[in-house]
Amino acid sequence: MTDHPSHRESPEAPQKMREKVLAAIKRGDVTMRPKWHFVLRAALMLMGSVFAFLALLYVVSFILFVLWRTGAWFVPVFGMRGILAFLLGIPWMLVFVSLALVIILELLVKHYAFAHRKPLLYSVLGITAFAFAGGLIVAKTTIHPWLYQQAMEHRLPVAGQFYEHLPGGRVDMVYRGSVTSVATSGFILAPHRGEPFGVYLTATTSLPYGFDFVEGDTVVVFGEPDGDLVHAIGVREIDPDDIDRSGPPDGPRPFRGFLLLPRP
Amino acid sequence: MTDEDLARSVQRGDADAFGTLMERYEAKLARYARRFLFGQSDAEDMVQDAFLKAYMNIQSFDAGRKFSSWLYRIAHNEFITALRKRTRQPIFSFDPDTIFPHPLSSETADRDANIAELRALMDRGLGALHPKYREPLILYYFEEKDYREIADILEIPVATVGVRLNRGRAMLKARIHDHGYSHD
Repeated sequence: MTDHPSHRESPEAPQKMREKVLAAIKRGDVTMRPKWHFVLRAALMLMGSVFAFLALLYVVSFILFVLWRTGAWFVPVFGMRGILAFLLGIPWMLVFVSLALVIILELLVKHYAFAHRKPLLYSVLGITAFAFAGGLIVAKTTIHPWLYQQAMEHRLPVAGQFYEHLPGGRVDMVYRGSVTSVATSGFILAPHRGEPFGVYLTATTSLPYGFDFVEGDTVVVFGEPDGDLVHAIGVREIDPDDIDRSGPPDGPRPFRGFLLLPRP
Repeated sequence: MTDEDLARSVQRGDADAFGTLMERYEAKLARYARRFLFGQSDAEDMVQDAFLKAYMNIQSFDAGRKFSSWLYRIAHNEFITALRKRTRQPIFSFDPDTIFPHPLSSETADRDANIAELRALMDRGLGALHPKYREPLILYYFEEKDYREIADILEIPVATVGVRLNRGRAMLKARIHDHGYSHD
C-alpha cells in the first residue's frame, strides 16, 4: 500500500492526541453536555414532528372538505371533462402547503435509522398514505362543517377568514342539491342555498349509477347552465350525509365557457 | 469490555474510559481521515475535533446501538464540514440515488472478489474521486464496515450505499485505465 507522503502515520501522533484530549477534559476546557439537553432536543423534534403531522392531517382533510363541498370530488366519473373539472376544483395552494409539510416531516425523521435506511420514496409515500387516510377520517367528522358554520356566523376570529373564502369554493358546472320533482326529461334540483332550478337530461347525459332518482334524493349534477336550466352532462346520486356534513352547495352561476359541450 | 460498556462508563463521568475508547479508535479515524481528506494537512486536527465532539455529546449516545457507527458519524460530519469550507460548495447536495429503490448486490461476495485489487487501485486513484463515492469505498474496503453501518454513518439508504460503491469502483477503474496504471 502506498500512502501519500504527507499522510504517513506518525506513531507518536495518536499518543499526543489522546493526551491532549484527556488533558482538555480533565482541565474542564471540554465539558459533556448534560443528558437533559439531548432529551429536550429529542422531545422538541418529536413535538415538531407531531405538530407537522397534525397540521398535515388538518390541511389534507380541509382539501377533502373543499372537494366534497364544491362537488368536485364526485365528477371524475363523468369522463375527461369531469376529470378536468375535478382538477380545476382542487385547491392547489393547499396541496403545495401539504407537500411542504411532507418535506418538513421528512427532514425531521430522516436522522432516524428507520427513515434513512430505506429510499426516500418509501418514507414520502408512507407519510402521504398516512396523511391521506388520516385526512379522510378527519374529513368524515363534523370538525370542518362546524368550523365552517362558526366562520359563517363570524364566531371564528382567525381561521374564520380561511373558511369564509374557501379556496376552490366554486367549481364551474358542478351543482349539488336535492331532487324535488322528477319528469321524463329531467328533474328539479333544490340547492341548499338559492332558488330551485331545472336539470335537463339528454340522450348523451352520463348516468353512471342509472336514472332511478326519486324526490328527496341528493345528487351532483355536472352540466352547462342556460338561464334557469342546467343541461346535464352527468348526474349521480351521492350519500346525503356528505351534503349535511359539508355545508350548503351553490346554485347556478355565470358560466365561463371553457368546458362547453356542443348541444345535442 | 465492549465499546458500548466503555461509552456507558464515560456517560457516568469516567474520563479514563474515554481514553480507552480513543486508544481503540485513534488509528482507525486517522486512517479514515487521511484517505477521505486526501491532501488536507489538518486531517489530524479534525480527528481530534471529532473526539472532542464525541466527548461533549456522549450523553446522546444510545448504548443499545453500535458505538463505532456513532463515532464514525461524528467524524463524517467533521470531515464534510472541512471539505465544504475548502471547496465552498455543497459536498452532498440532494442526491436522486437516495429517492428510488435499487437492487442490493451481495456484499460479501463483492468484497471477497475485489478487495485486493481494489485496495491497490484505490491508493492510486481515490483522491480523484468525488467525496460522495470516495467515502463509501473507504468505509467498505478499508474500515470494513457493512452496508448497514455505512448507511447509518452517511444517513443514506442501504441500497444507495451499493449504488455508490459500484459507481465509485467503475470510476476508479476507468480512471486507472485512462492513466495507464496497473495494480500489479
